[in-house]
Amino acid sequence: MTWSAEWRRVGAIVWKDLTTERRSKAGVNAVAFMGVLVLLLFGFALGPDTEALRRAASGALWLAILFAGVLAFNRSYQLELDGGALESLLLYPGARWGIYLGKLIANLVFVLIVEVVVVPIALILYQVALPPGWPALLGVTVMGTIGFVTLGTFYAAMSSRSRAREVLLPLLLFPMLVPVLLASVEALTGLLAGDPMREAGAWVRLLGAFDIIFLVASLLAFEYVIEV
Amino acid sequence: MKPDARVGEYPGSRVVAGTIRLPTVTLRITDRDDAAATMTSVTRRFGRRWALRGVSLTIARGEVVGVEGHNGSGKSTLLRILSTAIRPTGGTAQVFGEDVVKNADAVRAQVAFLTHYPGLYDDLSAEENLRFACRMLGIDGARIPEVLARVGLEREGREIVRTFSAGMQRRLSLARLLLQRPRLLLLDEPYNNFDPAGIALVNDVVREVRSEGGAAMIVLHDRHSAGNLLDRVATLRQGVVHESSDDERAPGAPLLQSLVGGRLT
Amino acid sequence: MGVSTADLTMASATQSRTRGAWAGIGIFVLLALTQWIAISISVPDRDMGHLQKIMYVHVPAAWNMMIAYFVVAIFSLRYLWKGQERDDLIAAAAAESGAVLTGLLLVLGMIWAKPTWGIWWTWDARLTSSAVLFFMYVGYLILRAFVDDPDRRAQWSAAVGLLGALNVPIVYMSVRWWRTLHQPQSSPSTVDPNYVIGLRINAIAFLIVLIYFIRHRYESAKMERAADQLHERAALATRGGINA
Repeated sequence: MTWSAEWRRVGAIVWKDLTTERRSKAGVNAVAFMGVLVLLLFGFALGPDTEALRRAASGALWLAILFAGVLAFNRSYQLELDGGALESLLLYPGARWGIYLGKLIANLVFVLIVEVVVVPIALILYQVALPPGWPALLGVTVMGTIGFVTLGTFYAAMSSRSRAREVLLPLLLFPMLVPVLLASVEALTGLLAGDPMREAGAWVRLLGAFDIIFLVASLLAFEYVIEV
Repeated sequence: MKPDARVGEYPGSRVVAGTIRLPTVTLRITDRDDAAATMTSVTRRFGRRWALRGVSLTIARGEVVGVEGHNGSGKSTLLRILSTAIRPTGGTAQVFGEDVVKNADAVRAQVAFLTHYPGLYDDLSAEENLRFACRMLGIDGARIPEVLARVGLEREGREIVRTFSAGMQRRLSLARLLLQRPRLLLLDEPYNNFDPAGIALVNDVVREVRSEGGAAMIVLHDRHSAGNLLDRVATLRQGVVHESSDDERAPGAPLLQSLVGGRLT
Repeated sequence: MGVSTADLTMASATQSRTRGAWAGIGIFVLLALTQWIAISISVPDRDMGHLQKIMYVHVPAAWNMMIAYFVVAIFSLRYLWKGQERDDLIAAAAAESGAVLTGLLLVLGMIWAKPTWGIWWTWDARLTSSAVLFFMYVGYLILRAFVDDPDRRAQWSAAVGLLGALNVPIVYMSVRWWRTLHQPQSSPSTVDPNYVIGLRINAIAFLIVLIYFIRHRYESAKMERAADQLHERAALATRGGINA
């Protein structure tokens, strides 16, 4: 297939996933609530001390996103499995990475929408003031989310089609996410504290490198996991 | 028989395309290379269970083959291998000369697979499902109204598939199939959940494809619904073809069939 | 298929098992020897005393754990490239051995940490990275446990193994960076010339043990597959039908 036809396929899959999600109504709301719930629980676990909460804010936020996000990834393949649509999807001529990219973009949009809810609530619950350089905060969150969704979409292709899918996805995904998590949390913490040690920039660059590496690796490996 | 016609699957022999005139019947031998689909000693396992245990068959152009068998006999697996949905564990299969494993994309462009589950997106409308299919196939959506009308869903275009009955979903799957203009039809129990009008529709589509030089393989439970559409019926039992009977016009055809590599009419 | 039943007649099977048993005993004797040598020639460390000797298992385990991961990566790649079942079995065997080594590593690290700093876990960079690696190994093994179809299992394991291997240096690097920001390095020195010889010979002994484990595990997996294939042959032989 030509490049433009391939990109049209990617677009078709993005449109299909997002339209289905919008129509099913329950999706984004449920996942966003899950994220906020995790934030709340972490707040309880850390205790009411303001300083402790502020220091833990970045970490708690990312963990909330992680736990909420894994729900989204399995769902994205679930809609293919319910009506047996996955087999039909694989029978259209064209490259497999197109399917991956389409699902990745759709999942990214989904998780970003969830974050629009979760991030402000995290700032509120953990009593963190918005620093002047807050667009950078946004940028870091998006970059971290890209890394997260890249790997999540990849592993969910397997976990959603096996037994014990709820436990298999976190088990496979979370160890792989450690570098992305570290970089995101450190970068975010640095930015929230006004970057006293100028370290945040280096973490951001690392995060970018991770995103690219995992994206390329997943693109190449995807056809092996979806075909069989 | 022509004196120099060499036939069969014996080493060194080859199928000779040509015509044999016998007193009561005319036999036409189709060259295997020209077949719509061939399977050679195809096996397929799922874990410890062997769904297909060595199937060899040929579907000639213009032929409609029925496949019968109990549940679990491997019928669906046969179709899935020809459609490239799954790969054979052993053996090879070709569709119009293209290997299903090595040139899967070329095969997909020519094959349409009607599964017994709908394979549609429940939250999208009929039109949206078809539009998605068009974009995935790389064709434009101009024919969507036409195929919807053809399957009798012209007024349900905007309805969400979740609200459709099983029969309507089957019609929509058929519409999607028509968008492709396939040359090989693989139909898995297409007559289930269908009223007589729907059954007639399926048969019409099969006739159309056949008349254009394509072929079809239909998995079915009873031959009745197919009427006289079937040129040949293969019976699968425990992953192996046990009978492959032509209709009554050619007595002894199964015996000759097993000698000759190609198809007999 | 990758396994030939020809090499598994009763006689040869028993033969190779006896040979394997002797090899195993020999290797363990070797390991005991290298441990004893290392322990006796090394001087008690100034700070840690005799506790330092735990390094002779801990460090070689770490090095060989990395080698095991390397083996998983190579054979996963080979499987995706060539599709021979043998490569999948070797990768799986290496992953199992690697998981055991990593577990050992973590436990020893904790045993070493307790008397040294009074706590079981210190978030030391290398130990933490090893913990992440342990979970990656375990994830690989659990994936295999949950997939029944051998083709799917092999293909998925290969993809997961490769991506995991790719992540190994990334994890090590990012965790180390993370620790240097928050706390200075705290692992024991391994470059002291007193210890180097002991470490080297034990590393080699462990490598031999690793190879033995992988080989042994691969042989049992091979036997399982051969039994599988006999089953296949039986299933295909009695099929009947017009193509029989």
